Amino acid sequence: MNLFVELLAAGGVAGAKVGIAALGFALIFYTTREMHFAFGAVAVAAAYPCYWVVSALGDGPVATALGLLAALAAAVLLSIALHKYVYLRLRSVLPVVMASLGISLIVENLIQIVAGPDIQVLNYPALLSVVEIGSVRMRVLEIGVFIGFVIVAVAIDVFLNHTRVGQGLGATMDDPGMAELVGVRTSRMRIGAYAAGAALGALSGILMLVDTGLKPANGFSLLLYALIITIMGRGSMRSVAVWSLLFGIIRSLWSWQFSPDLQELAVFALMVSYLIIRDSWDRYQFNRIRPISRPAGPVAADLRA
Amino acid sequence: MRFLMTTFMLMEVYAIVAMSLNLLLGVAGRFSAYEAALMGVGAYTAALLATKLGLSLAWGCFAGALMGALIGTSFQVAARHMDFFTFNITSFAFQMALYETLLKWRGVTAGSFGIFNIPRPEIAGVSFATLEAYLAFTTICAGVIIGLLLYIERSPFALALRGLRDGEKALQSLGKNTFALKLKVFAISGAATGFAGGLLAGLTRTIHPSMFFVYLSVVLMVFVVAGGRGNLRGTVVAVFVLIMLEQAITLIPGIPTAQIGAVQRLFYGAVLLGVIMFRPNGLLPESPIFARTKFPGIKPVEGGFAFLAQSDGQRP
Repeated sequence: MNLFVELLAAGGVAGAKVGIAALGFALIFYTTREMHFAFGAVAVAAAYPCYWVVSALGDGPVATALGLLAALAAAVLLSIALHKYVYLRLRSVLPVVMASLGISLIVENLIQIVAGPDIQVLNYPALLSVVEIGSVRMRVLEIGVFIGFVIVAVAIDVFLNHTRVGQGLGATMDDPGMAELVGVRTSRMRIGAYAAGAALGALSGILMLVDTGLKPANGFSLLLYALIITIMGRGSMRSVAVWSLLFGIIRSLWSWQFSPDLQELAVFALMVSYLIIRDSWDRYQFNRIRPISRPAGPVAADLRA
Repeated sequence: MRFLMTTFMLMEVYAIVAMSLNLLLGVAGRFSAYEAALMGVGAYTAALLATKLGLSLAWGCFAGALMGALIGTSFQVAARHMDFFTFNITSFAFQMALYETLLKWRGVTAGSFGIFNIPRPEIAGVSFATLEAYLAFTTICAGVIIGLLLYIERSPFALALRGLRDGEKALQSLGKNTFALKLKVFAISGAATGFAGGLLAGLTRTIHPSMFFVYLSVVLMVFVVAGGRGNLRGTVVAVFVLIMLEQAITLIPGIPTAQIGAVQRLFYGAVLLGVIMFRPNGLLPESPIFARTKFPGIKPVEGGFAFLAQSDGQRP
């Protein structure tokens, strides 16, 4: 039982780590419908300016703030530039996928040529001290990541549902054509989504820098988990947040009963089978013969359409 | 000389896989990102049959082709109701799942150590153990398969596949079974890929999972994009030119050896981005399907990889 609680906590933290990137990617993907494969590479590349700034100025609070600022600026500017000058010119789904794959190769390997393929870590001893909560021992950093993830998820939810600009962004996600007609400036919404998503990506890059260490090749796995969770979330930011927590917990509970060696394989296999079953079930529901007479008032399917 | 022969065989193997990917992606308009893993499955099947059961590698190649076709079609059956985005991501996840299987199923695949000392085939008393003999074997096999794929490209079957790419609804209204067409093209392309994997196993004589990482899938996609969508001959040219340039990068003086791989990947990324941005039809574009028509109102479809634009990624 004790082990179970510990694994649950570890899984929640792992899910939160992936979840920050997944929320960022989902924000970009749902708003623009562009499959931004360079997301992971840009997130990792943006953490390098932070590393350079902090290792040049020492790890005081001012230097840390400057480093964070440099990383966020790099990620946001690079992503918006990619959106404006590459993706918008291609105007179609598959060319965007391929161009962003090319960009991710370019960014990742440029960073590798400039900074070397080795792992870089920033050491903050205060973040690594261990705290005991009940029977679970956790590092300060992990608690901070979890709280940060909850704050980001709730903030996005409140922003989308309770502010004017957020409602415009939500409208752009649901139906860009209609949103344009009622006066939402969808192109600005897209740029804003790129900025916010890239900032979240840069945060998860910096998290790697402080936690497990950062190397250029990390970008792809970061991207892949974020992508799969985004597709599983199906247009709703809430379900992206829930899925990323579930992802971490399933992954960690797997090592409770089965070989931890097969963790990655199990996660990928479960995700592929979930997606396959979900879409087959959807098609089954869609093809089913429904009675012609329907109850008065809106049906769930009408609300969804 | 050995280096040249090995590179030439590598070109032939990649040409087979890239052409079958072009049949899938360029001619039939079906995206797939798990070609590298499929090649790995073919290579492992052939190698395991050769080392554990003592079967000739030639038969192993056929078994690998069978496995490739089986996995390709079963994935297509499982994923037939997906929209483009979901299918795209699922195929990436499938590539990772297959890769992890090769890496972690230690009892069969020997994990990250890989399989050593794969015997080269012996057919009717003629041994193909030396590199020169194996070059002849690979060239004959590759010639036959490339010829078959080129024949398929000009056949009425490929015309139906192009219809699948440019207007699936229109093809259905003409009475074609589009799902059967998709299954056929996945089977053909999977079989060619699996066979090429078997050839690769005999070429390197050592296989390990990191040869079949997702990066290889992206490189194969670069070959297809650079060669020209739907033009298989262009793909052959692209494979030969790009691999020659990739090998030429290693000869540039002044690059430290640790960074050569990074420079090569950078080169492939730049080629992919440049071709997609500035020459979306590829370096050798597909010739128009009908050169002349008696209906002047008929307009050719949009070139490049824009054929998914109308579906908009919406759910059915």
